Amino acid sequence: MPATPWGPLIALYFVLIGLPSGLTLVSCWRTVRWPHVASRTDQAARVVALVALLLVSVVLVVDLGRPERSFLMLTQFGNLGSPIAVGAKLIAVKILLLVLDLYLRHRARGPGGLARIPADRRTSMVVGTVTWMLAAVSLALAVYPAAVLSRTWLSPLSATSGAALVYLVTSVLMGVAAHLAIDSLLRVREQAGSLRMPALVLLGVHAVVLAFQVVALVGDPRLDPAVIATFATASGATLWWGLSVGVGVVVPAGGLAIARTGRGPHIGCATAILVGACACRYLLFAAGG
Amino acid sequence: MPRWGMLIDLSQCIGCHACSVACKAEFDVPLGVFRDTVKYVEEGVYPHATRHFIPVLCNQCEDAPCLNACPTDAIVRLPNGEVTIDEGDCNLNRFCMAACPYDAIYEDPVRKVAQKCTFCEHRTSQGLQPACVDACPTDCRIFGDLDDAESDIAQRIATEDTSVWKPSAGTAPKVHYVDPRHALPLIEVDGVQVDRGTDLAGER
Repeated sequence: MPATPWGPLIALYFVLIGLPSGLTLVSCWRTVRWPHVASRTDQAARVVALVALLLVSVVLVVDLGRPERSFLMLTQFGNLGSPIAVGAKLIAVKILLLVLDLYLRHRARGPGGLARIPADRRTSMVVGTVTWMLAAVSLALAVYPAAVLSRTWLSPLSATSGAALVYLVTSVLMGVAAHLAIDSLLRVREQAGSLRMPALVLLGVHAVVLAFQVVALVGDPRLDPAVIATFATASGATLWWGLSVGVGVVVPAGGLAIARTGRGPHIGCATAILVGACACRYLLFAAGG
Repeated sequence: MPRWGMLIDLSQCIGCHACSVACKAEFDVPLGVFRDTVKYVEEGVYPHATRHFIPVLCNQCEDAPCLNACPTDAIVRLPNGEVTIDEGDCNLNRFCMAACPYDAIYEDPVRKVAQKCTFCEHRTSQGLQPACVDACPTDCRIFGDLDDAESDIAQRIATEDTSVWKPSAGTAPKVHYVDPRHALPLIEVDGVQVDRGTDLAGER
């Protein structure tokens, strides 16, 4: 194929769009699992998710040849079969939900800061609904790169059987890593609500998913051999073995297994997970394109 | 309502590029990009070497990937089956270009919109032939209604062995080829636009 019509900005978009989705999914899970512990970091995590989502939206708009017409992706409803059209609308909905959620949480705070004002039944129902809607929209945005990219000739790996699962797992991993970092930065030390064990389990799931994805790809007769060959090039091998597997799985798994607590090690492991997940998503996006 | 299609007889194409030039003139297509061009592929070794000429353009697919990819409804299918781009609704997100397996859509550097062959909708709606068909000196292109059993194109498709470009893409193209020497698969991995990635610096 001739030169690709897409540049580095769209690659950045598909790599980073996983972060706000993962952050929100993990936030929602913590809110349900440990409502009191999670409240200490929820605010920060949701603000980071909102900022990250706004930034990736800006990246998507700046990449357009006519950014002044970006609103058309939100106002046109004639082609809901286009995953990118649905994705743009979901991003707008999620931004609104995050703002609403932050407002509701801000309103629920007592004068002292973190103490909660007991909510009446109707308010609790609204907060619960917003949380579940955020989780649903985030889940959709976590897997939607696979739907968008499988329609193109630029990203053959995104059309393979395990692509959606890899996008989902890397997205949640990015969220767990960001939460780990936020916990460490805010010095949350409670044993309950710690993301160390969930992160280790998720790294194990990620390793298994990657292993089966590789097995499926190597034996896929429909896949162009040139796509697999990109993993043997210097840059491909560095991204795969060095960053995706080494930095993204082995280093943080070892680090979290050894360091039960500790601000520095946890921030280091979170950074490694983020780097590995980004490299993995970039490979899925770009290999063979 | 007719369902327009095109048949290109590769055994008659001489690679003169009259179609490309007529298209460029009709739409003022900028340098370096194409709505319609002629690929050539060399095959065999001396003394049995040969060169194939293969005109390529938007296939106006029945199941058009660009139509499904466009997030702003800028790509529309007209009642006669022609797939066109509404410039006003295009924000140049390039998803159509990434979805088209024929690389038939290009970015117009002057108007800053996605563009492609429309089967000369402005001409066919007036009862004229597309500019490339009129310009062809060997009449290797036949344009007509695929649903009209009496039309030249329908009769030739019914009676001759025809094929389409990249059938594996599953897009049901409406540009058919008479390809007795099986040249089409030789350009399987190439598109309508020209790869300029290997040009020397200063020659772009």
